[in-house]
Amino acid sequence: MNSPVKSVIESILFISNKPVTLSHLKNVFDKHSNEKILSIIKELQNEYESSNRGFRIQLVAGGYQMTTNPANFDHLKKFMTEKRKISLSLASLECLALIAYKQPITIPEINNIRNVDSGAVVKNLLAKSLIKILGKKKTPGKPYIFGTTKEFLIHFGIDDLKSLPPLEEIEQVLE
Amino acid sequence: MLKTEEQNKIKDLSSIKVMEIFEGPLDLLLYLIHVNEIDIYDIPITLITDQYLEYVNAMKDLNLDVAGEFLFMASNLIYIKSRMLLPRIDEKDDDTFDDPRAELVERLLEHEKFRNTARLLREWEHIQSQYMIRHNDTNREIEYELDELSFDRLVKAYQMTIKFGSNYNYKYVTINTINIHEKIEHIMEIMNKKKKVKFDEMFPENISRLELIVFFLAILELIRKKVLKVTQRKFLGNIFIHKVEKV
Repeated sequence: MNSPVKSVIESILFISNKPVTLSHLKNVFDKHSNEKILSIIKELQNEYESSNRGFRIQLVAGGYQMTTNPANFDHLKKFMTEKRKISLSLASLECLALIAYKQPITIPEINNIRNVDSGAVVKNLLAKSLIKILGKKKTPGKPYIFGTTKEFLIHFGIDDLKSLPPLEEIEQVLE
Repeated sequence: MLKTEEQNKIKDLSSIKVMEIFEGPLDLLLYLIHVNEIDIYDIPITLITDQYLEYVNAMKDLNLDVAGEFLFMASNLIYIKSRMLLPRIDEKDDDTFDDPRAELVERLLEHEKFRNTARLLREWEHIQSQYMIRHNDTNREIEYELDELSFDRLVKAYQMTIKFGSNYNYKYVTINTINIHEKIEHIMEIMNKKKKVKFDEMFPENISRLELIVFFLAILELIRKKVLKVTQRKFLGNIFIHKVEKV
């Protein structure tokens, strides 16, 4: 087993269907430091970028994942026979935004801010595993409390919940 | 008042489908504030209330469920408007005067924040959707690791299955159905002969648990129908079952 580390990392990222964390990679290469592994990933990223390859490596949900080159999207769309609906409704997104920023949060609390009954939207998000039940609140009625999942981070290409911009700055980010 | 152009726009929208255009009353209010170019911290409540009600009237017969939430906000707006019209009692201290619009403004701002966040998420979603990834193939059956298996083990497993199959003695299980009506008949037979029976002696020996339960239920049923009655002379004493004599 003396295949170059870079080649192995590339293979691992290629075969994995979920983000691969640094500690996962570390388990494979016990002799290499985190810095070394990170720098190799960086090297791969640069290679793909500079030679305009069909892959990209993203840092998402605390792990690395190999994706397609977004420039190829239109062609790939033609290739994919199975049409996956990826975009969420604005109502779902609004609800999700609330849950992402205010988690843990209950449905009554969501309704209160949105001024619209959000039960159905929450159920839909739950079915898509973008959110999960964290437990029950110890208030009358014991409502469920909700929080976002890893799938949420993957869906939006977010590395970490901490990397969400502060609510106050979102308007600037949009511009 | 609304410019006629805007008015037409609003009426057109309302004739399509309200729910898709305005997610709720706060959405509608933000829209009205936006088209009128109003300062959110100083909402001309009369203007907004009028426009809001105009819109709500137009959509009234579209979707009652949605209209409910919209009507609730309408009453809230009218309430704020009425409070704005009332003279202030406490005139000596201007600073402590709380604006009746304050709570609404706060909610609108909060709502706007999350609406913007939703738009940001939509943007990210759009970008991220172009970075395609492998998907878990959910249709695939669970696969077992078979690489450690060999042909002779398969043969052995087959032989064992055949052996097990031929040696096994099947037993037939008959399901005894116990019918509450049969039990009632049985009890009545006893009662017609004896008129008074000790509770303990009522049950046949070697009775199964299920049968016992049905037997007991049958007795309860007969008591309910006032065919039988139960007496007990002293605490923890013998229980007797009597037949109720028809008058």
